Amino acid sequence: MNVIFSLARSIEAFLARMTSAILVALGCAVALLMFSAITTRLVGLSFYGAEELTLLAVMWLYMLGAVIASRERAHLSADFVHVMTQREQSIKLARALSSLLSLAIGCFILVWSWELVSWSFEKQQRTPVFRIPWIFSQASVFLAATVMLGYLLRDCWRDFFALWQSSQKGATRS
Amino acid sequence: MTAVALIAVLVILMMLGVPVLYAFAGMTVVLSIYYGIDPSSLMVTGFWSVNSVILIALPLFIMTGYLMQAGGVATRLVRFIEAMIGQSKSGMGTSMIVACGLFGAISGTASAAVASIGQIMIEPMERHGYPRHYTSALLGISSLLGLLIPPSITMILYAVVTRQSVAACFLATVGPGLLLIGLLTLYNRFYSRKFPEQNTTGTGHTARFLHIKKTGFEAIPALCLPLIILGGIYGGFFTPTEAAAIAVVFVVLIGFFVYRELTVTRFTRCMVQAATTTGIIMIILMFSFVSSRAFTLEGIPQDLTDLMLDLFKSPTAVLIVINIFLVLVGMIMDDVSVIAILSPLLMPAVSEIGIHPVQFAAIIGTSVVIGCNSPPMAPILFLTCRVSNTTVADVMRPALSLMFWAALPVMLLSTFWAPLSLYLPETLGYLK
Repeated sequence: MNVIFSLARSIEAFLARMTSAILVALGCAVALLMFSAITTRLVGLSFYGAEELTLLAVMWLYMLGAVIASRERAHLSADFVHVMTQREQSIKLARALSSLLSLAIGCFILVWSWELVSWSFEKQQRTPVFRIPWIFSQASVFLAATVMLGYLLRDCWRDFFALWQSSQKGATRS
Repeated sequence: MTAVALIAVLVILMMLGVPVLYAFAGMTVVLSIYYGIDPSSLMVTGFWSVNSVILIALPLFIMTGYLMQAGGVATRLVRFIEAMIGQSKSGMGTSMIVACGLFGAISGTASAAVASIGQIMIEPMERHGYPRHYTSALLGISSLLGLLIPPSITMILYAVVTRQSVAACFLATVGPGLLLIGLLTLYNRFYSRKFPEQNTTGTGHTARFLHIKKTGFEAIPALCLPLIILGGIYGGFFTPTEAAAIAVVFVVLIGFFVYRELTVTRFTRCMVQAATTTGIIMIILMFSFVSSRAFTLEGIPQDLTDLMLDLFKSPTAVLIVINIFLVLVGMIMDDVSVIAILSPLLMPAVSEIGIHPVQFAAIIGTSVVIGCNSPPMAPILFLTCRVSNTTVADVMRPALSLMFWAALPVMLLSTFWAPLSLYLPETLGYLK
């Protein structure tokens, strides 16, 4: 079992490093595409299609950024429970409940993003200049929803395990 | 009543600690089940709303903020301002306020200002007798000048969500931003008298002049940035998105070749951090667009307007209620969520009582200053505490005082005195 977990962790760490490398490339591409659009315009030339290429790249940047935020559990949330109670058990319970609710909602997001991709596949919409199918951009939403759901599963497992451990400790003490 | 119930769902989910993005999506789940709306069509709306050229300015300005911090641009700016006005006891606080304003004129974010200015100024201010908790509170409020002094990320969001001109919304918060600088400076001047005198070694006039000259010379490339960004936008040379791209390229160039503090490792880290921050914002924005679309389909903003106008007859009462509502919601929601969800929801009500959408940009922008420093959400206050190594409990008292004497008056003036926010956009021809 431990071998499987450590293998999964290594694969996940490798994928995260890959994602970071892609994010750097995408960030540079977005900035340079916009910059080249201005500079070419200033010298009297036109870089047709720069905007659509930027839009295609930037959607992947948004979605992969959101994936990294899920990996680091960095998505914005309000810290209400800590304000209301200091009891470790209550905090862990709220955390587990929050993870479970997020997981349930994450399933809906996955279904919706699949429907978005299916709709795009059906409509075959393309960019105006280079005629690139928009599905290349929309697929990022589905990919992000899938990976984020994976991280939600991880968080849920961890939170419930921590809750179980803490209740076991409480039972031993009493 | 449906709007109130839906906001209650959102608040309950957020109170349980569900991340904002899932809380928004959860609200959409409830909406789609309750009204039988096909969520797939809503997702299409969400995608196309986020797929906007104007919004590309967001990641670019966020990148600028991180790169300024890593490339030594922020350090040069703060050193120069400190040399100019930070010689006296109250001057130290003033230089922090002005540095935050100037930082805002480049990056448009608050968090980057907290991290870079906090790291540079907290220790020297402590040596000048400033208590750490007061410095943290001052930094927390001042850093939000980044959201008022253009280019501002929150104003880009507001403009996209409410379909207003980005340039007009930028101008709407200049007046409130300058007023906030003035009030914070005044507050700091009076408050810093209480601090004990410290034995700081004074310098002669010549030495001071040389120091200003040296730091000023080093800061020239950094000082060019706001001129390029704002001059370019209002001179009609480029759009805010293009200005953001120029800012990124400029900061990278001076970070690598002029100040030589930017390394490949730092650059890579900045890009990943910027992408992560952008991802967090954009996915929230996507789901807020989805919920807003569902709201509009069911006529919820109009219902809310009717309810407000039935309950409160006078426009002043409606505005006071909106102000209180914005402050309360700001306590439990981050700035992006407040703007993304509340601006389209409240827009019909404010338009009905004769408030211009561009003035509403200033109202909502100034309310965010209070919200970002009010727990339990308080993203900026928590960040400030982390940077300054203090606790929220210690910082809360001076922060509340600063909000009461500086941020709240600015919000009220923006609400009840239209020229504060409309004069500049009107004079420069951005209002029809």
